Amino acid sequence: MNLDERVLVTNIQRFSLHDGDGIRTTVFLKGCSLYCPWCANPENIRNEVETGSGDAGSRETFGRYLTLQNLYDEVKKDEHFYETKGGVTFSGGEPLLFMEKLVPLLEKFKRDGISICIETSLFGTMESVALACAYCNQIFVDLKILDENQCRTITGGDLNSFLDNLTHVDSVFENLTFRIPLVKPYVTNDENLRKIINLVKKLSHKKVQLIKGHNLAEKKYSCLDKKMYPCPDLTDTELERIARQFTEDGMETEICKV
Amino acid sequence: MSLKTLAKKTVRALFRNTRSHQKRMAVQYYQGPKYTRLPDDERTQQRLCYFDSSAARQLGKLFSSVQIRIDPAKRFQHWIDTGLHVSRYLPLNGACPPNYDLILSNSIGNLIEENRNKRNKVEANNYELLAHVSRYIHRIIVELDRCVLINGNDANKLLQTRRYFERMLTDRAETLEEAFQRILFWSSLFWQSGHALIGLGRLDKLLQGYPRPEGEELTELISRFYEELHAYYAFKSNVLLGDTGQLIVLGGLETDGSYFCNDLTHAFIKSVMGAHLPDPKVLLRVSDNMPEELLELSLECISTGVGCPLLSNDEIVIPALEKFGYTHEDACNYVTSACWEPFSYGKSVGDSNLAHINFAKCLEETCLDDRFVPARKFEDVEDIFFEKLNLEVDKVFNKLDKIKWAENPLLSLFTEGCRESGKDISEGGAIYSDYGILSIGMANAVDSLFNIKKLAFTGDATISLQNIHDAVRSNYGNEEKCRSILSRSAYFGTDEEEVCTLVEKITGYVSAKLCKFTNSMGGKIKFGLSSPSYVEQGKNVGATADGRSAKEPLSVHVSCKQGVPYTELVNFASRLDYSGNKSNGNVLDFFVSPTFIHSNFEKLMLFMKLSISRGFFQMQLNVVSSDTLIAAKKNPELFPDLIVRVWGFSSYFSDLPEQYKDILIQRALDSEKTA
Repeated sequence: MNLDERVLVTNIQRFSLHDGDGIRTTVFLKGCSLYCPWCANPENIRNEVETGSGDAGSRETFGRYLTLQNLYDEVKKDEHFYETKGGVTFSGGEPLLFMEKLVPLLEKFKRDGISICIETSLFGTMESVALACAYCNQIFVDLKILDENQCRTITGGDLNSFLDNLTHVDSVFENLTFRIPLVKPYVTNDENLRKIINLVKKLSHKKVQLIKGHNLAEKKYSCLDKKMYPCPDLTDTELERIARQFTEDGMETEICKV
Repeated sequence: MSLKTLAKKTVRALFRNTRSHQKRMAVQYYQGPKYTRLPDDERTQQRLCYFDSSAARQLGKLFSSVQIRIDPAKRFQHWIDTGLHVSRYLPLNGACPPNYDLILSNSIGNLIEENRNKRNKVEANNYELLAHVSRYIHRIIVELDRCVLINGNDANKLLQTRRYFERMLTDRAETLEEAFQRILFWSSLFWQSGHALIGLGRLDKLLQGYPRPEGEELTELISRFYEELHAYYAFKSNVLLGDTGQLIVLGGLETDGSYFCNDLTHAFIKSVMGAHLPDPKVLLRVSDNMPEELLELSLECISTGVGCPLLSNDEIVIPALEKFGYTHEDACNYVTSACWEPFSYGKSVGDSNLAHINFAKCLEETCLDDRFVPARKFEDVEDIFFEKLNLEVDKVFNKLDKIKWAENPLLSLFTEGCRESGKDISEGGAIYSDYGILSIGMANAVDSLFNIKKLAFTGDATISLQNIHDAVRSNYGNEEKCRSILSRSAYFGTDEEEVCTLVEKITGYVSAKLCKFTNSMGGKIKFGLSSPSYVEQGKNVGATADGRSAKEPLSVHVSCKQGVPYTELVNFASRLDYSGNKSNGNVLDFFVSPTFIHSNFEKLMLFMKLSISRGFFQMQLNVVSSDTLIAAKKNPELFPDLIVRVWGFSSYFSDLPEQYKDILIQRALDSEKTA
């Protein structure tokens, strides 16, 4: 199998405990189909090597091209710790953009019995979604803005293609979890939350993780000379109120404070 | 010998035994931390028990002068007469848990009978010593009677204790409570006679046959036992406060490969959690087939921040000890010295931390060597390093070779081999008379060597050997830029093939060299990568090529710089070979923040389980946040109970020297950035 193909990666995080079941290695791919203003990984939006200015005037480079073989070797290092449930997680950026390229690697992981997980917004082609469903053992799908207009103007995504993808994944895929970044007010406004709840109600998967928004990426934004959306703080009361709404509508809700 | 030295020696010998000389020697003790840091009620009047050419006779004199202290309110009676100091010219073997089975399953009368024929010197000593102990016990009984009279109707507990002391002379112990009282009494004899780092041994195994209460009542009984052990904390502490060596070893693989544990294993750990005291400490022997709930209980205990149990991986330790020359049975029945150093229970001398190989010093000397700057390839630098290492190991051995031990009837009584061979433990009477040494600055040396390899010998040659030489010599005088580049990378603790290979090459070299040595007792010498005194020893080492300044502390055990994931460090540690003489304690040292451990408990359990099967040697964890440590450094009075793990023991944070506090704070900060 040819593992010479190269992909653009910003980071490989070993001993990752929050990106799927068990102990995992998370590969952050560089390149995204959206540009959410609150993005926690702004360095992963553009599919090209970027440089920024770090501390004390030093240059910092984001992204390096690694062959699939490099990725394979790195992920294999912690194989002992994956046991049955853990494994590799592809995050980003939008991993769907790289699905086709990754196929030989995914094939190899599958043969080795290493579980594969992706974190996606599902804004990608139907082909890439089909590939993801075929190779992954676990998928996290972000649910953000469900208003067609706002979705396009704020994040740059085509909501209808997302909904088609979602319906497909929901019907064919087993281990699906929704992740909702609670960004004020874009995601957390009452109308949007209602839309999210109604959507999930219609789907067969009911596992929801509520991610409390944070401003941890501030340094990366300034390094890249980009402006960060200063996400207003969500109080614990608000968080609990939102969580209650989800639970009341029969969803298995988990709060994640990153 | 010149006439002058001969004269000097004779004069010294003449005056050595004078009482005034011994009094002068004792000043060191009376003005030192062991005595001065004691609370008032634990400090007794200063008296000397003078040197005696017969060690057994001296112990007799000692026991007859001990001030007995009975406290009717307590469940166990146990005291140390801290003002009564034993004068001695040579050090005592120690740093081990005596196998108390001897005095639990035998009466003193029994033991006296066994040694009555005095077939050799050890039996004669045993006989005399046991007679002295009997007289001491009679004195205690008289004292207890007096207390019973005074306390009248409330004297039930005292009467029970009196029975326990009486039965010590005539019967084997019958219940757990009685066994605890006996252990406390005999351990007090060790402390009283000047032994250091006296551990408690495999108490769950030792005590399994003794009838005992269940549940809460059992935990309560153990808590009272712990309270007694925790008394005289300063007196028992060796170098740093908390370094008492009072270690309880729990669990472990049997010879048939099954895992041993019982209700006591659990109760001992639970009581540590409940007591939240730095002393006694607990070590749990772990294995692949141990019950998951026991590992879970241990992780829960660790997560309270109490610093223990330390986990010792039987899957690796037992085969390593077998390769060292132990029988399978002896390897399976290992305990450890005060912190980590494993050896056979009740059959071995415990002196496993007698010296250390200073790898950082070798590195410093390498960089300062005349051949360093002209070196054409990395291998040349390596050669210089190994040359220095060769000298360092020789130096360490010469130091060990000079050690002479004091005759030690008390420890000989408890150590298998002495009675059989007729030789005191100090003369090599034990079945295993091996010495142990430890390492310091291994990570500093390895990181420096890789810096040299990567920066000075690769194509772009960012930094020249001259730069490094100058930086080390001038202690980074004009080389701040050089320092910033050198401190950037971490190698030691990563699972890169070449890093493991170099570390193995270094440990292999030391191992092969140590194989050639035999100590004065006929034993071998083993070493390990655990490293105490990284602060004190750092003061003797100049700058190193990993960005560390002169006199700064050296690296801590098997740990790594910021940014290396836990799995990677475990991979690294598991790839190293610890067998044979490399088995003298190799502890992986982690820092975890309380929030992290609590919010990821299940996954950390999984990580622990998989780390055991991956094959680390030993592991210890500090669970405390940098915020807490920083606040505690600023306002110690607000955190009197904050416990941390340093070296291989738990200690109160507020008792530590400032430099140790700073290292702990820095490591906590690093771990928080990594996780």
